[in-house]
Amino acid sequence: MTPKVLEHLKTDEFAVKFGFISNPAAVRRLLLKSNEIADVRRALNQGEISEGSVRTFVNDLVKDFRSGEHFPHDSALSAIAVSLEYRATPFADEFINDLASLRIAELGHSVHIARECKKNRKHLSRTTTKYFILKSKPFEKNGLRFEEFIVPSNPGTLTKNYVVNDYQFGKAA
Amino acid sequence: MLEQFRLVGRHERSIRLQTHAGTDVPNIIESGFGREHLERYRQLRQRHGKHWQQRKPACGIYNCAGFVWASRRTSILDEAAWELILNEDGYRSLNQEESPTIGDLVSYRASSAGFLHVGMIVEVTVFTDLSSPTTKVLSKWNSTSGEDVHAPEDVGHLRQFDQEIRIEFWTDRPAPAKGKKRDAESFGAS
Amino acid sequence: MPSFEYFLVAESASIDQLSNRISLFHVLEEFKIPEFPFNIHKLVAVSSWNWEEGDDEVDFQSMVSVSVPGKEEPTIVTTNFQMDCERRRVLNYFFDLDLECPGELKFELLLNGESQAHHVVSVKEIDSAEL
Repeated sequence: MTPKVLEHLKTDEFAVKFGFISNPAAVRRLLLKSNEIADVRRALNQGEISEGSVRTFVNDLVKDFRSGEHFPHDSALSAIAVSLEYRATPFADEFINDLASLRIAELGHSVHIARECKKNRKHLSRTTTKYFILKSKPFEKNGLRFEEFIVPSNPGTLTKNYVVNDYQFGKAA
Repeated sequence: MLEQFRLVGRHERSIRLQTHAGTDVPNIIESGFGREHLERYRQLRQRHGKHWQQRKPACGIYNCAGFVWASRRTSILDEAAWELILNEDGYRSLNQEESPTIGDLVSYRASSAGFLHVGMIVEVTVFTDLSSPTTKVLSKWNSTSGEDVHAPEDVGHLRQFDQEIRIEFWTDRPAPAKGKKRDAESFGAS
Repeated sequence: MPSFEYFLVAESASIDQLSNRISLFHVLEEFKIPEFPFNIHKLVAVSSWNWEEGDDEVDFQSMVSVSVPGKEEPTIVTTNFQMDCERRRVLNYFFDLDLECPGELKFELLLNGESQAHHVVSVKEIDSAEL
């Protein structure tokens, strides 16, 4: 069952409120100050909804896409992008970058809004994390240098990975 | 997550559009619309457009800026482009003494959100008793709405955001001699 | 090139999802070891870099060289990153560090081969009189 704060984003009420303004940059600014986006952010931050549920919601929205027709949930996608704008998680990166990179006629505003969100995300501090096992020494085989390290692949589990020269391979631990 | 769009969506198209100064104006020819958009446009008119006169039913392709500056051929979604066109196409804001006339433009700017909409003046009614003339604006609200004729201040759907909305009149006409009045309007949040 | 902000080695680090702030727990300054050899299960080397003009769409490589007391050759690990943001943190977690003898556990941070900072952790054997 879709959480209420997300369900509201695909209603006619929401689309009528934000969908009849022709300037996506202005829509983004209005969304940023809106109660609807504040509710989504609060729900995410407090754990009432998860990024997984946002992903499920978006996947459901996408089912209504019809080629050649303006996407009926363009406003909802815009709202999700703005809700995630200040969230420094891989999911937020994935959604905003994916949406911003689209160049299709059926998505007008949400793509432009995602591009604005992406520009503003540059101000977020970002983190790159890598894990290394110091006990095992790098070794060479067939002219390739192997360096073993482990990464969390799912919550609570670690996977052994190998850096071979500059390429990374995964192998379940 | 958004792979379906990439696989099935139609690649966006644009036309060659430039300002008078020769600067390219980014644009996108938007898609047609479905039943959801028709219903939402109907709701918009029911809620906010009781006094609007529809000139054209719902149609795709262009937004308000595309109607005003690209002859309904395409949508201009880039905010910077709106400012660029006003500047490079020689528009000026009407001063206090001037009245708008047919062909002039009306823009709606929110205090902290920027440009919300732009329309074109299509009717000016002058009264014999010398009271202020009334104007009517033709607007295309977005790339799925129809075109509606309305009074400049009759934009309830733009006033619902707790922002001051500033209405500005723009013209390409040369500045007149001093002495003419203009209708200056600015109203607060509802 | 991004400008260097800080480099520290700690027991653990955490990024708050709400505020995106980083917290370091128990910055390492010395180990007091009861008996060698001793295994350190986990530690993290944290570096922070600030975006500078010209850093867009350029690949950078940070290296952390770990010199363990009693071992001749340091272990060098690399991390590639881009400055697609104003500030980039690089967290390198190390597991299963074996300490064979007392000395200095040295961490050196390099960017594109140029040394930027050091962090030294003293490794001492606990005097039996202290027990």
